Amino acid sequence: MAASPYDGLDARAYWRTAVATRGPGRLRGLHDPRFAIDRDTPIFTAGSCFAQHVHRALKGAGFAVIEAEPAPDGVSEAVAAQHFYGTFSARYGNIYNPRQFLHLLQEAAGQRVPGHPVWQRDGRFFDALRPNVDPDGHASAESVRLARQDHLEAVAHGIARAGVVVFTLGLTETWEDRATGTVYPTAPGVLADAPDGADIGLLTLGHNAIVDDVRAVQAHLRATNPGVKLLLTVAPGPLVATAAGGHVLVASTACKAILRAAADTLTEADRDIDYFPSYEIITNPAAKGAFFQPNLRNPTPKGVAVVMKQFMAAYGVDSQPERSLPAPDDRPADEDDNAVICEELMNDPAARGRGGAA
Amino acid sequence: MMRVLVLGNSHAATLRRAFPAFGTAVSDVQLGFWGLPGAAFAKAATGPDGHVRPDPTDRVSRRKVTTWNDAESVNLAGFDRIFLVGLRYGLRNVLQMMRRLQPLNWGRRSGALGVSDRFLRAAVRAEVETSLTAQVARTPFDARFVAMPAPYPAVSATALGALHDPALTAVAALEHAAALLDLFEDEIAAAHAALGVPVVMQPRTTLARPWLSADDYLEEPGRDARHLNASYGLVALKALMAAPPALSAAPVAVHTTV
Repeated sequence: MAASPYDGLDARAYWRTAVATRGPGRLRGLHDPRFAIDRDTPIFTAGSCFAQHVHRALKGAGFAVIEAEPAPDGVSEAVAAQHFYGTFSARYGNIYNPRQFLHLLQEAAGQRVPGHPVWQRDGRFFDALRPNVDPDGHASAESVRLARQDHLEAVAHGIARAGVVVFTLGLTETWEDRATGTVYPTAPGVLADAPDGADIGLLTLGHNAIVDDVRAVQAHLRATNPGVKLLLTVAPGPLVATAAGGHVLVASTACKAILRAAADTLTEADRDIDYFPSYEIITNPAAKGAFFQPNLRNPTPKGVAVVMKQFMAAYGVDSQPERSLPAPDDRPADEDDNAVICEELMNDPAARGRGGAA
Repeated sequence: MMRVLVLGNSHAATLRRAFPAFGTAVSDVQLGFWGLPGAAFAKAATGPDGHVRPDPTDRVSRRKVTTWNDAESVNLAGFDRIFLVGLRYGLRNVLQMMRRLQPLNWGRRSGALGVSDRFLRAAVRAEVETSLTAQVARTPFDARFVAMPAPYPAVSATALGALHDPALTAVAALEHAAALLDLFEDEIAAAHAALGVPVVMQPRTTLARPWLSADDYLEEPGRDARHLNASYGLVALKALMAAPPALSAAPVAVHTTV
């Protein structure tokens, strides 16, 4: 009988030797980088909550992580972190899907005007596109507008310097203004309320939409920065809640499968797009769930450390521990989540003090 | 006879200079003082025996304690009321932040980073709470305590020269200087309220304008723009005496016009 194509492969090709008989922190050869990243590579980070870990870990490891909106001198680290200074490469907050990222880049380039950019709550005014970066809002709509103007300048400046953009795909459910197509990171009523008359509804992005949006992001990046590379990850945490009508577990599985499949589609077609398997590292069966905190959603610090260790190993960079930051207090941060701020949590009414889920 | 201790740093010593004048006006109060220069007082702590003592490892503290006080320590148990005077609540850093940050609801300001009003407030709150927490760790408050911050430097500090304070000068000159002062003092009041301890702000009659004491109250005009004289000390002492005597449900800042 002829040899099977499965004969004689590297140990990493077999589940038994690559996963089942190895500890979850000892997986090897998970990622073959398509392009180099070293400590001198200007890295621009964005994405969902998990991307905060990536940003902090890369910064802590001495990478040239871009911070286009650094915290003002003298402000305590905790206060700065509560207001998303030093959390990503600029203060856009969590960007849960590539359409949101695309719209941000277009707006920063003067190519897009968002619909209903200012929402309100209790007499305070919020930037609807990043409602949690000033968690208590602004005193006026004009203040929101001026702050956003500064923010967009910083985004444009930061992205122009990027050698690699690390983007974490997080969710497929988003909230869209039907009239303008603007997508928001939170639904009306979660952190603030949209203006009367705004027609904002649930939009579930499918595989093709995710692929198209990432390609549009990449095209936009290349237009201003031709050599830029895009490194995708998928956030490992399940959804806090689904508004699509089904069970959250099923919705989570579909969401992550769509995002993961989209990443594969994208990397197969474009050599300047790569995927780093942080999702697989956190969720792999060998970990038996140990890389999730008791809420079965947030990665543990150890899980994040393993991800970053694998990252450093893949790119041939010495590993250093993630620098710890003070946990932001007064925030609905995930329990024990090591300083990550995630407004998606507020999709659970219990987290807002509005009663638990049924 | 009520026994009152004025406890603190060099600004508390300003009140001590007013003891003779205060004593002639009030007969049923016995005043005591214990203090150290700023850096040394910031290391002094209350031991399990209720005595406030200097840091025994600090050479300056050991030297100054005998020149500033009648005794090397003071037993807090011997007093009915304790006026803690002279904390700065992170003033230096607060001024730097107020200089560099502009709440955008007030419009833009050249050279300042635009922020939300609540961001600036949160940043100031963190400074105030850090300062107060450190003090409480050294000397825990009880119902006898009333606090009074250090007086603001005088107008002389805005003039170019040896006494010049750039950050203070810049903030005092801002269009919204008064509102910024209110913000700072509101946060001081809130931090004290959380501890159930009254705080008496600098009497407004001693201010020339927001953030600046009147030069008339300087102890050494031309040499020192930060330390005030016995006249100020008397006003401050009267304001402290008029403060709520004990814990109340919701202590608030007292903006006295004594």
